[in-house]
Amino acid sequence: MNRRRLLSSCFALALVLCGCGKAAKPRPTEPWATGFWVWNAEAAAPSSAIVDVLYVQAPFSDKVPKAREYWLTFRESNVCPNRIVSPAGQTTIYDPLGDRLVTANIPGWMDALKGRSVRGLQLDIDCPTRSLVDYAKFLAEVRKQLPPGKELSITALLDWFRDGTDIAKVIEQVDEFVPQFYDVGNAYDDPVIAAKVDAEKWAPRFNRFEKRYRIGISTFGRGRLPFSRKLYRAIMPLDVANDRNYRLTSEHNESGELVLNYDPIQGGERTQFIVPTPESVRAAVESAKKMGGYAAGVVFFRWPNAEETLVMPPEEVLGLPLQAAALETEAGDCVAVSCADLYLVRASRFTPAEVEYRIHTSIDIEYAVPSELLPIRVTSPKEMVVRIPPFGAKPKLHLGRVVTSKPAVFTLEVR
Amino acid sequence: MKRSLLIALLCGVVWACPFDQSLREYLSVSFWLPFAKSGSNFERRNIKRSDVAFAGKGEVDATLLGRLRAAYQGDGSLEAAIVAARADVSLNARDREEVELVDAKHDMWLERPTAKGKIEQFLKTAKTPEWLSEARGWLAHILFTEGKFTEAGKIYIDELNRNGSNLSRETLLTSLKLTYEYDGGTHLFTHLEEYFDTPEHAAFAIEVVTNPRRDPLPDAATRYKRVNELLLKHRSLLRGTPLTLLTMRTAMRMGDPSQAIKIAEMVPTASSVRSDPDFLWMFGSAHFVTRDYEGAEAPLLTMFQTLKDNDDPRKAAAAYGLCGVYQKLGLPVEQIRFALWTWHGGSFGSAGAGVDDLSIYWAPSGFDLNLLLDAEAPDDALKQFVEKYPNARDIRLVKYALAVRLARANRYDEAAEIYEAIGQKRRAPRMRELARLSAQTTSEGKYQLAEFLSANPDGVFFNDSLWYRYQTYALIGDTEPRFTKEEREIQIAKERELRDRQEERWRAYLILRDVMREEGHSGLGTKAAGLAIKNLRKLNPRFDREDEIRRADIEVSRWLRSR
Repeated sequence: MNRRRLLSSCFALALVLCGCGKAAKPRPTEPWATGFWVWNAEAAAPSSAIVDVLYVQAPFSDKVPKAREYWLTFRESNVCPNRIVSPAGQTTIYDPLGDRLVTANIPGWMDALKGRSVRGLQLDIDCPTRSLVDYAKFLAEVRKQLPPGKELSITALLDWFRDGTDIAKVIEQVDEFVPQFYDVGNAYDDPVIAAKVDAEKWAPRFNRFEKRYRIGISTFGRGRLPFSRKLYRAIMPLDVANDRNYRLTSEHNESGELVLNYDPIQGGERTQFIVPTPESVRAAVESAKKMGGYAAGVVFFRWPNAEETLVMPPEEVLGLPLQAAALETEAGDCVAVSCADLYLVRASRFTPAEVEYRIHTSIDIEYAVPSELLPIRVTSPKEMVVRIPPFGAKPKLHLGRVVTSKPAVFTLEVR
Repeated sequence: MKRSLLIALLCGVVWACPFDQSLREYLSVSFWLPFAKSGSNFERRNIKRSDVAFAGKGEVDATLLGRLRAAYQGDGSLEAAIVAARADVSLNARDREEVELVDAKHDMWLERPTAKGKIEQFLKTAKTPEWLSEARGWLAHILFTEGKFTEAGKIYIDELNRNGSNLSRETLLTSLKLTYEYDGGTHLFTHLEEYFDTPEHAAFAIEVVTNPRRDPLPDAATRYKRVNELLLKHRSLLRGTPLTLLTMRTAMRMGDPSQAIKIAEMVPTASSVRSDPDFLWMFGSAHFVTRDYEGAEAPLLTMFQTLKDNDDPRKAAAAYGLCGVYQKLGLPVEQIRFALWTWHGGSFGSAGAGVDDLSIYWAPSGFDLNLLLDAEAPDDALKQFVEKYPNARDIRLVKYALAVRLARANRYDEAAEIYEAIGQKRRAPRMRELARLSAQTTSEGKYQLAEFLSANPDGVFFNDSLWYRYQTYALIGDTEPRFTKEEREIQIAKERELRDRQEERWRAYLILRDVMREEGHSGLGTKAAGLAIKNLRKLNPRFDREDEIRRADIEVSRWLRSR
């Protein structure tokens, strides 16, 4: 064997050993894992829950919640790799917003993986089904550049798995895929986020690839104006719940999610909220478990940010006991009086009935300046009442500022 | 092109002058915190600095030293030039030192580990003052890059007050700013005791580490316990004025104003510490935050009177603090005096430009004075102020406010006299006309009065010298959480009264309603109703009586239909 051939053989062997070759068949016996996507690790809500796996959107942060396994996720929303420019090995991605081709930052992704104890790289790219061949080529390019020992995972649209697509070529390049059972319709038109996890229908379609997969389940909600087809990210039920000009009706959609309709009494447009419920999430998980074969867990979209209202807290998703509501006080900056901002934390979310909280003070209240959304009422010199309207709670509710002549101690009573 | 420039300029202005709605900041604890300190507060007066070109930056000529300088400035091989210059036996001691310093700097720029040793060696042997101070500066620079901020900082502090230093004041202040930022962060706190080697270092460290913050530090109690312990342990180092001021400062920063008062009261009456602006500020602050407003008056007044420079931001702080004192003591004439002083020049902040460098927050909106003159102070207080302080700066503003108040009370002739005296050529004749119209008792006369008011919105009862569009942002008595209950109720009532009394269109509506009632569905009555509706529908939203306006509109509309 001459020197060049020897080197080539060593190089090929090294590629295989370091897992940079074609994806090896995973063990179908991988234990069932429960995980979340974390979309903003810096702002992730604190929780005592330790989950099996977290898919953390880059950049990774030390503030990421605790998990037994991590993945680094790169998301290229609404774009699709569609061409490989050789010989530089650079891959371009079509950016429809800018109507241009941009270079995929594969080296950047690989750099982000280095020195991180993550299982691998996950790409969240919603390619059109017709472009799956190009996507497969792109994934092969990514795979070549993966650091030794790291795996490649992708999120997958359900449409990719219908008959006659090139999904097999895509799955061939990865170690794992995560079909997303949400937003399969048009978010602007349909009052539903979650898609039904029908094991009978989907298990044969997923298991035939003999690759590990985890089922993506939605645990987020959204607000929308259904008639003018607008989605709201910032508005919360509380923003309209105390407005006497709106009437609330609620229902459950076909996925078991709660749909809250706030209709203006005197003309105007309906404001609608679609929120997951513990029951809708539990049903999806049970169905996922029925997939069998290479199904290896569920991934919830997503871990909430602190103070996010429409995303289920991890405890609620996982069926863990919820911490009791509590009162937090923050000293105000007052010289001539004592003033404190009161916050109600962990109040029951999406309770269909009004919930009343009473706040007792150690000394007489001079006056209270209620927050705009939640009128706190002084009912006696040492007591205030706040009523959370149906479905009106948030993880942290500012109740208002309370003024006393001296520093006071506040205690919470739930009724 | 012109348009782009204009937009850029506008953006610049907007960025530089963000809308401010600060008000009654003296009711915030954070306003009364000790003044923030930075490098410039530690400069001694009359320090004479050198201004000699740094080593290697001097004149370039044909000599070996000249060639060395040329190489240092980028022309040729520096290492060869150093070797050549060292071999030049004609160089005097100063020039030889320059060669060695250039050599050390060369290593430093190349980040060679030898650089620091060379500079330290140079500092041991060199004699030339300007090279020595330069070398100390570079040593501090290296220490800074090594993360040894304490050692670096001490060099900068010393150099700031060293006669003959060749490091510029600006360089040193910038270096101190970079080293300590606002309050020295965790590093300064961790290394605090290392500063207790000289009184200057200790004073600097304690003052910077106790710089005020609006948001409390999570470990504030631990921090300030530690500072107090160090002050106690090293009290012999900081005898006299510095120790008094530092312990007071620490007590105030710790939220222990009673302790600050105790320390201050122990200072002998004749001591010069008692005239120190920092002492007076903290003494006054401590009284204010313990709600002894009377006790706060004297130190703040002394501070205001002894600081001669009107542009001194400390003087503005004292004046604004006195606004708070007199608000609490219910002395509106004095409150106007200091609010007016602080306002000078059309902007509340202009009298004390830079005051926000001293204090955590400031109230440049001018709302304090505006509210005082327009609603809070009684009419009599304005009159008394004009009599007591006839030569006050911007007295015209008070006179104008008094005239507006008189107009609101239908005392148009008196208002006209004031306007005439201060040269208000539009308002004065308007008042005379109103005096004439209001003297008429017939329905037609009343109609004319209402018509005149309708034609002069914001021109009779509204004080346009104080407000420009932003008044609603100042009328926040109902959401102001820093008042006592009693103050709050009074404030809400005064603000409501202001809203009611300043609207010419509402007053016109009320007059027209009378005319309607008196005249019934006659020509004049119908005309009055038409004008009444117009006024109601054009009322400024700041009036804030939506329900009443709607009801009145419906009532007049029905009245018109019922003919």
